This record gives sequence, C-alpha cells and structure tokens, in this order.
Amino acid sequence: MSITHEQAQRLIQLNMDQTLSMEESTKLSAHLRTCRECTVYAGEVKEVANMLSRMMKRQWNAQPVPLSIRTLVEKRKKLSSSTLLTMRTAAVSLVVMALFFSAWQFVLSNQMPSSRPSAALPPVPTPSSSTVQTVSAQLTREGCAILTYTVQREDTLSSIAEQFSVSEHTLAEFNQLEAQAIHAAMELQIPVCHFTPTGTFHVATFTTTLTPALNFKTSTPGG
Amino acid sequence: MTEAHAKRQCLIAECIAGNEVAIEALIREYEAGVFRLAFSILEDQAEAHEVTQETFLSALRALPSYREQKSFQAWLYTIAVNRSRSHLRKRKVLERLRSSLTAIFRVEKEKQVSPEEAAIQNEKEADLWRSIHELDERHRIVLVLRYFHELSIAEISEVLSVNEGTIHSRLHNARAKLRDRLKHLHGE
Repeated sequence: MSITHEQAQRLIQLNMDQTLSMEESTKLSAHLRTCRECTVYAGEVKEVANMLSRMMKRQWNAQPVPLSIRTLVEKRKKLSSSTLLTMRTAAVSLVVMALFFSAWQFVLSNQMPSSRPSAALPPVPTPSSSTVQTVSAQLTREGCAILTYTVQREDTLSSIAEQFSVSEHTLAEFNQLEAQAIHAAMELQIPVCHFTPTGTFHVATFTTTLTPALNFKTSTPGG
Repeated sequence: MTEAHAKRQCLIAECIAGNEVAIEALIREYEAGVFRLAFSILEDQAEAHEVTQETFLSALRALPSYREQKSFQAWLYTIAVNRSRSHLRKRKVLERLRSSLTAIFRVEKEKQVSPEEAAIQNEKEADLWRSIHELDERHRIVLVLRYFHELSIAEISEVLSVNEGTIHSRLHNARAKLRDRLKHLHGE
C-alpha cells in the first residue's frame, strides 16, 4: 500500500496538472500524512507554480499588443493590385514630368530672345550636328500626341481647329498648308499638346525658337 | 456542436472564400493571443510582432487544409510556436556568431538579459526569473503555455504535437529544477 518518496513526488506533480484517480489520491494522502519531507516538497513546488503564473502574467500581460491588422491586410493584397499601383504611380509621375518639361519649355521660349541664346543655354559638348537635329525634332513633338484626321466634305479649317481645341494657325503651320486651303478626304495631322489648353501657345513656336538655340550649341568651341 | 463552434466554422469558411471582413474578424479575435504567445517565447516586441504576422499569413494560406481534428486555437498556436522556434534558432546562430566574434576581438560582452523591474518584486522572484531562462527551450515553452496561457495538458500536447506523457514529464522536470534552484539559492 505504501509508496516511495519518488512515487509520491511524481503524484504531487501530476496532481498539479490533472485530477488524480481515486486510488492515486488515497495513496498520496496516506503518504503525506506520515511524510514531512514530501509535504514540504509539495508546498515548495506549489509555490514555484504560483510564482510562475503570477510573474509571467505581470511581465507579459502589460505588454501592449501592436495593431497589425492593417499591415496584414495590405500584405495579403494580391500582386496584381500592387503592380497596378506601381503603374498608376508611374503614369502620374510621367504626367508630372511632362508638365514640368512643358513649363520649362515655355519659360525658355518666352524669356530667351533668339539673338542671345547662349545666355540661357550653357555650352554642352555635342558630337555632331546631325544628332542635334534629331534631338530638336523630338523636343518639338514631346508632350504632344499627333492625331490623323481625314477631312470631311463640310469641314472648314476653323471647324476642325475648334473641334480639337487648337488654333487654325497651328493647324496650317503644322500641315504646311498653303493659304489655309483644305479639301475633303485630305489627311490632316493634328497636334494635341497638354500645355496648350487655350491654343494661344502653339507647337510652331518651338521650332522657330529652339532650333536656332540648339544649332548655336553645335558651333560653340570645345565640342 | 455548440453555437460558438458553428460560428467559428462559418467564419473559417468565409475566410477561405476570401471575405476580407471575415479575415479581419478572425485576426482581431486571435491576434492578442498569438502575439502574447510569441512574445512570451521570444521576449522581444519586434520579433513577436513579426511572428504574429507570419503566423496569420501562413494560417490564412493553410486554412483550406485545416481539419477539425484540432481546436482552431491549438492549430493557430502550433503555427505560432513553430514560427517562434525558427526565430529562436536564427537568433541562436547569430548569438554564436557574435560570441565567436567577441572571442576573436576580445570585445566586452554585453550584459545578460535581466528581468523587467516592474514584474519583479523580490529577490526570490528575480532568481526564479533567471532560472527560467536557464531552462532549455522545450521546458520553457511548456511552462509558458501552462502558466501564462493556462492551457490544459491535452491542449499543450495538441499545440506542440507531443504526447501528453512527455508534457507531464517536462513540466515535472521543469518545476523540480526550479524548486531545487530556489532551494539552493535561498537554503531553507
């Protein structure tokens, strides 16, 4: 009937985690009645358990739980939506860059009299004049979309100009029209530029003011 | 089947279907528990936060494979414990690297982890806290689950995927060791 100290201690420990069977329980209490050593052991182990529970709760329950739901939901979003976002950002920045570029062009063309272009443009070494020509061609068309429009029977140059919010002058100059004469089935190139909402500032200006400036660069020494 | 249980099943089904509201509700319900579990194992706020996120991410991914042989909490805690453990392993590697570096360059060693002052009220508790950290990881995690999270032996066995007998003996050993240590330091 009697059990060893070791067995008693095992039962004491087991008792802390689950209820003992009837048999185990009677054995243990019988042992504890006579054994002082094991009674002390039971008390000490119980104290350790109580201290553990108290300390851990004090230590860790005070810890604030950071809100992670937002970040989690964001992380979970699919790749496609993130690439979409990137594309949107890219598009927005492109538009902003185009706006800046056009503003710069505007300032350049307004402030700089064509007689003194070197004051605004620092001499930049350029290898040959042919590359400069292509650059200037690109510059005039940058920021503008070119639409091709087939002239209808009842169209006039002014009606087309109004339809696309460009000036007649621009249209004529852009398509190199003589005496502003158009005829049906003729194909017109219509420049649609972001920076000419009123039509008062037109593409043709670029060609006349910028080309000499760039040509001037090629003749600067040290190229 | 209890009502709460049915509700949980419904919530899980919604989560699998990709319902954002359900997912948020699920996270909100278990977030604190998972974070505390990770924090009690790692004792580092940033790492615990990271583990919490990882746990939910992989749980949501693995949700379709969740079967009811385990309680949902136990299933989630299993993931959290495994994640925390892999962080501990990483940390151990770093620590080993650092100690070898300090040995090479004879840099002064950083002081040992000390318990937070607020939680400790006397000398005995301070000693006990230090003793917990001298236990190995397996014993410490069992103590944490038993005394901080107050899980039953059956639940701990589910979380750790270790049979109940082993849990009993780990608890027994851990408590006996702590008792011996305290007795040694505060000889009665």
